[in-house]
Amino acid sequence: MLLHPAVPLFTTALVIPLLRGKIRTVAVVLGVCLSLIATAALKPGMSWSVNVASMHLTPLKVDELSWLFGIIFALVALLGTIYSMHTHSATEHAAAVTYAGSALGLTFAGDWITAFAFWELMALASLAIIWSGGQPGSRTAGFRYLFVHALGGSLFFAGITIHLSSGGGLAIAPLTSATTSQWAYGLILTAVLINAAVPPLHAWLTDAYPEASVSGMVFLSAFTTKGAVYLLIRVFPGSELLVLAGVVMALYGVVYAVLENDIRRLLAYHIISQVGYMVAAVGIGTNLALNGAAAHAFCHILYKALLLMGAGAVIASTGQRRLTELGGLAKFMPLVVILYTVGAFSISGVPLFNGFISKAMVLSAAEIDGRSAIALLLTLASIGTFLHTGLKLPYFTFFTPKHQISVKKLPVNMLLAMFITAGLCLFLGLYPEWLYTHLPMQPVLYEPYTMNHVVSTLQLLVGTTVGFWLLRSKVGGAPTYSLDVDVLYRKPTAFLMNSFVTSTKEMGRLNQQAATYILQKLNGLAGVGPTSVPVYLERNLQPLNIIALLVLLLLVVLSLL
Amino acid sequence: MTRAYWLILIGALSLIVLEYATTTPHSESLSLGHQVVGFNLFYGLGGCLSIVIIAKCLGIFIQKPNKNSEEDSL
Repeated sequence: MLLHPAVPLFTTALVIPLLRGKIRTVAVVLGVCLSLIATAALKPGMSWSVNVASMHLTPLKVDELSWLFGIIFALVALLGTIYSMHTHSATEHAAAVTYAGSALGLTFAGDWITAFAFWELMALASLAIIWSGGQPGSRTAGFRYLFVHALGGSLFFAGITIHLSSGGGLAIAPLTSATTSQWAYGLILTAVLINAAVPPLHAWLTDAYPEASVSGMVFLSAFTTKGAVYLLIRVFPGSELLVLAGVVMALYGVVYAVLENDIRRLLAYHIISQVGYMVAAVGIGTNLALNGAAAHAFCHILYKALLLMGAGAVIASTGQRRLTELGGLAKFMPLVVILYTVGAFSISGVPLFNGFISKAMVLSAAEIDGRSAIALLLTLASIGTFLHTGLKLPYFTFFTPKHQISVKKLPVNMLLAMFITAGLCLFLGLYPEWLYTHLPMQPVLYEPYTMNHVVSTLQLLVGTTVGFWLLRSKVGGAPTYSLDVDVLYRKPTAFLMNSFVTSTKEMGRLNQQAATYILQKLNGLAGVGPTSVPVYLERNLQPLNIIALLVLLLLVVLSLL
Repeated sequence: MTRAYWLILIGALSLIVLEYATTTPHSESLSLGHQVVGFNLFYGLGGCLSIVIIAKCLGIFIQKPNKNSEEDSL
């Protein structure tokens, strides 16, 4: 029997509001487990098509690439669900499973229309996760997130429309100048790059993700950027622009992370950096590079979830998220330190951990393709990754002595989710053959554990450790925040949102006033003086407010079409 | 020097010796990591210092004192 893996998740999202307490938790876990089983049961070559409004849509099309992304999306949904089992927010649970379901829908979409529908659903579900974060900045960060993704969705829709109207096929296939128009190519690529968080289109990620709840950010880190990487692999392999974009991403993230004091923003910058590896690999476009991009996405989802679970555990037990307010936690939470270290070693590419086996493929692909400068720059980013996630964050969070911090006991489910994720990171590091046999370009003849590679990696790590030790007084957090590209649109979006809220309120008042006016007019007929509506409009609805409201509504409507 | 420094120094030198003794030279490779013994050790150290210095210089322009709380008023 063929079951689309998104169906159990959407069904779960629908029943969540009807359930309470432990029954709800059990229902969510069952729904996510069923989705994982349904994904695992799919085989390359399976597909399911329907005719809708004279269009031949394919909501389910399975090949090696979609299966690989599908299985990791379903797996991280389960891990995130276990991590968040103790939380009682029905909104967040429903949004999380909808988000996971739409990511699976995008992954298995065989046509542009289905992909667009799930793309937009992902944006809305992730927005709901951010808004249910309960942080002081969740609401405004969510509005900025909405603004950027409404823009991205509009570009995606416009690109698909031009692609289809210029004779392009409905099926998702690699786009080139021969298969589509330049406009369609540019618009779709820009939309995907927005979701991949390529600078300068990246600030939504570091702005909004840290404003979600600790469990919400685990889900957020997995789907949107990796969904974009999936589309890049499928649609834009070998696009030269992506090599440069990937290198910029990889370095941008690690440079900004030096200045970061908030542990979740620091890890958010490393999402950008790690996705940079994948984007660069897609740009290189060889079989080894595309396998490297897929493998790195797979491994990244696991170790980034583990790192965010570790950071979330620190925040949940101390209530603090800034390095300047943390320290000396190792004696209170030794298990979290060990599990976090597994994630840190994985992202840093330490041998025996999963990041080693995937990052190596990307770097080797760059070298074999004669791009030694690219390989060197990506290695530089790797140094920065170890510097921050492997040294700076754990040192200043767990080991430096600090003032008194009260530490609460963690729920067992959080530790269980971290334990399973850490186990998977080690499993893939020790047994890379499992991942390699499921990569899209077969056969995979790559061997990561050569003496040359292991020794050179250890040298990099030792050199970085020495550098950190020399500069440890300079890299610690400072009570500051760093301006990023989002400063350019913080005020315009605040203005748009304020205008939206004000205008909505004003329209409500206007309705009331109009009703009053009509009543008074009727009264006027009966001899009572009327009120002037034009005067009311002039006084209360400023032209800029109206324009801002119209622009916003246009963006929302375009993105939802 | 403390014991930690000695340990790191011995570890670093061991890695250079290990690389020299065990790895095969790649004369055809353009990668410096394959051509110069111990390159990655110094690249790790130099890269770390470079990233911190560049970030600190950038920080002069982009770092601002902490906000007490994110503005959340609409």
